Amino acid sequence: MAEVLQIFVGGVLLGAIYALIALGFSLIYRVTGVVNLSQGGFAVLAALAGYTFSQRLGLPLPIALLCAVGGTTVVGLAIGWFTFVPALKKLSNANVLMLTVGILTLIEGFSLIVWGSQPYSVPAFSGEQPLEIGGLRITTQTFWIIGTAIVIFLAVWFVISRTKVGKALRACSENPSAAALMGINVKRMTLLSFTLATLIAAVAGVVVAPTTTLQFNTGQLFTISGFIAVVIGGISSFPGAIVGGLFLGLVTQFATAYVSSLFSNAIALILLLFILIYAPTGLIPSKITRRQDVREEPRVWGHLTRLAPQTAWIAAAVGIVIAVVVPLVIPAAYISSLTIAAIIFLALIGLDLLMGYTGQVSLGQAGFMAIGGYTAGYLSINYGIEPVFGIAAGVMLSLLSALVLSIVTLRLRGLYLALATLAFGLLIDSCAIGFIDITGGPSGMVGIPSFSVGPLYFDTPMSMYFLVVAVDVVVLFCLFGALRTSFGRALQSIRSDQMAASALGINIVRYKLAVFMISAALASISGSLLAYSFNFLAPEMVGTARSLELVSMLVIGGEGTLVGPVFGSVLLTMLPTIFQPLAMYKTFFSGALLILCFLYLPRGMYGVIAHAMSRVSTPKTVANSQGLAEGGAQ
Amino acid sequence: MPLLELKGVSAGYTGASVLNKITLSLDAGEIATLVGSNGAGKSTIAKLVSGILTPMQGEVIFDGKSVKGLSASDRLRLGIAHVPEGRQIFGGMTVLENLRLGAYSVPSRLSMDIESQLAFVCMFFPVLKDRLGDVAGNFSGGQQQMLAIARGLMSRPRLLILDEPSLGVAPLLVNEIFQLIQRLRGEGITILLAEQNARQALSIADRGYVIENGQMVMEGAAAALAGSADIAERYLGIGTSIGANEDKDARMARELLRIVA
Repeated sequence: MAEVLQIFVGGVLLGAIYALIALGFSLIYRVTGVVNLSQGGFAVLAALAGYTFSQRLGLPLPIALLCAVGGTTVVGLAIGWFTFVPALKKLSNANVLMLTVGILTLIEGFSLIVWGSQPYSVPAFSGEQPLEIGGLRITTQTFWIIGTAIVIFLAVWFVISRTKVGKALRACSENPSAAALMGINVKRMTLLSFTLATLIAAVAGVVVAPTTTLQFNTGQLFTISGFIAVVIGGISSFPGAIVGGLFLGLVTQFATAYVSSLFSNAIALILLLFILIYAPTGLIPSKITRRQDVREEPRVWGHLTRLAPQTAWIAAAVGIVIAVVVPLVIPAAYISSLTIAAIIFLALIGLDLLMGYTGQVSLGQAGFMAIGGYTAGYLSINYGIEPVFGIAAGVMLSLLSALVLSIVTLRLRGLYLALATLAFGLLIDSCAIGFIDITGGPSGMVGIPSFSVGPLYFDTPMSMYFLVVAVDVVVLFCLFGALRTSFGRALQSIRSDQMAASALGINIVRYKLAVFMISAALASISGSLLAYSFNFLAPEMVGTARSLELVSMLVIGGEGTLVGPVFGSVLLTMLPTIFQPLAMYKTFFSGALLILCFLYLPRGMYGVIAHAMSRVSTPKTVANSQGLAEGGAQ
Repeated sequence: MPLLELKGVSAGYTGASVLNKITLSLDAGEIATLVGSNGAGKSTIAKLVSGILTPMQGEVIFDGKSVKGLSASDRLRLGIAHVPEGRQIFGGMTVLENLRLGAYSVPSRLSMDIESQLAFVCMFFPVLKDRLGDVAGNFSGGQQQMLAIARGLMSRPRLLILDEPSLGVAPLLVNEIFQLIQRLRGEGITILLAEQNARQALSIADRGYVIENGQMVMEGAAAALAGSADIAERYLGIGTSIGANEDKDARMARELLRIVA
């Protein structure tokens, strides 16, 4: 009995932490209709700053923590003002979600530069000696955390339901245009909600810090747990955030105690997927009617970037020549990086088809890379199977997983789709770590043979590079061919308006499923090739961080172009290799680049290049060539 | 001096104009109505006056001063309130919360004014008085419209813009709403009423403006407009003197010609 109680207390503690983060999500969602995934990043930023102020600078604890929370809130205010608020006007909800991934990456990159990659542990506020209450041992920090959580919940409840500002915030969440008519400054309220959520996250971060080890990327864990909690509870209700947090905390704790710590996450994620199917509004649905504006519908860029046909053929030829010549002239050390860029590009083509063409968000694409990589590696190591069949087996398994996952994803859109795919990726992550006998667990799978077809061995970086480039080119040509048919037009119609597309008689389910399967298969092949190329596979190579990186690469390269992502892939893979000493700036840089692209270069690097090329190719009739570039090639 | 003037106001996107050089004026204590079919530009005029939209050209003058550059909340403080089309009440909040949000632009130090205005509004809308604590989303269309008007009155406006107050309201309640609007004029509030229901709008208004495809096509005293044969035929659904006996084919042909032209 005491044991159960002990676990219960642990669950409540964990639940309080999750609920605090979840509350921030809920607050921003209610006012703007968008989920802010950077929440956890701010929590860790505040915690690390608190560590520096108290341990390094020797400030007294209360002052250090106050400075940390204050500083983080100011940073949040600035980031909100320069990125989040302008983005709300320009971008669809799904893209704002991605933008907040960029903010999260930016914060992590900043933390990496300032604090490095080593873990930090922070002392508890009132000593490490646990209290004994009725046979239970409870750390003093538990009381701090639960106490803080209660104070924050009461404060938020008071502000929202009892003050004029709270009423204005609620008015914005219900009907922004009517709120503006009442004389409420909707923009200011948006910024206020963002800053308040940052404040809550910062307070949560410094209070929780002593119970965990902090690293520059711990924020992801906070964000993900808080996100899961808020969806379980019901995203637009504050009680839902609390209930969801506590529920998730208890489930995780009991699963850790009675099943296995390796699968506690998996259990929580499966639970989440079931909730997404059967009660997508969460355990405590909000009483508030749906938001009245149309921001739920993705606002898409007017048209996809296209080159004029003859320019496109020339560009393709030049591209292939460059791809062939570059490895012959650059230092040999860079070739393996280039190979990785080419392998990742394969997964990106699939993701672009899914996100860029069809408008379906996926934050779990690396999950299929993991399935492909581990399946191929396992079969090749243990059964000496031909790599080609290993890849095929991986593709089969990925397609099967995609089919099962599509039961959940086909009925979801936007935010919930992002969450479901994220949950899938995390589920695969925890399987990759949990099934030690098959995958080698956290230390990875070693001894994967190089790729070979019969007597042909691709065991040098150069040979592997040309193999992968050949695969990329073949896939690209096949897809470009397919997209010129009614298939491509159907996908684009789904992207711009699902309802209208189905009214036109387009079988949305079939097309979405087809695209999802193609993208899963490509990711799977990419994962297998990665395994054969490295002769090694570790969970973080094909984990959720990779999924998020894929999205960054896609947006930076240019969505909806198929070839555009190659720029993102090469840039983010090669830069850290070429500028070795700057490698630690990579995370920061890619976060910043992602945000800048979303705000100022919505068509990515490809868009810029294509625009320049269409100007150069027909300088005399610029307007005409632009028209061709944008509307042609169908 | 007119309370509200629009001088050559145009609005729209570059290349596509929604409103073209609209000029109108409205004296204090008057009811002016904008009539015209769906999409004619009535709501756009309403939004330009309340500051939700900014005009591409022209000037909006309130109480003798240009309101150029003033935000919606500044204009609320000057005394312009806008009851939007489709009511747009806060459905998840109580009636009282909706009304208090109506007075959001009134500084808190004037809380006495807010309370007295609340009492005034409750007197005016007895339906709402009994249901102050109820969640507004469960109300019928007519009751929601009452609430939207009441919410607009909470900022003590001098000019009340009503956009399609009869839309989606049961016919019996429509009469009640029009009577209410007349009583509001009796309280000294100037009213700009955008309505598709031209007959009833003209019957209570002092002045009428007919908008078609973003153009002002006719203006004048409401009674004169209501009596005009052209208006009667186009907006009131009444045939001209011979129209009643005219055979259907000819009428359809004329209708078609009008659409084609």
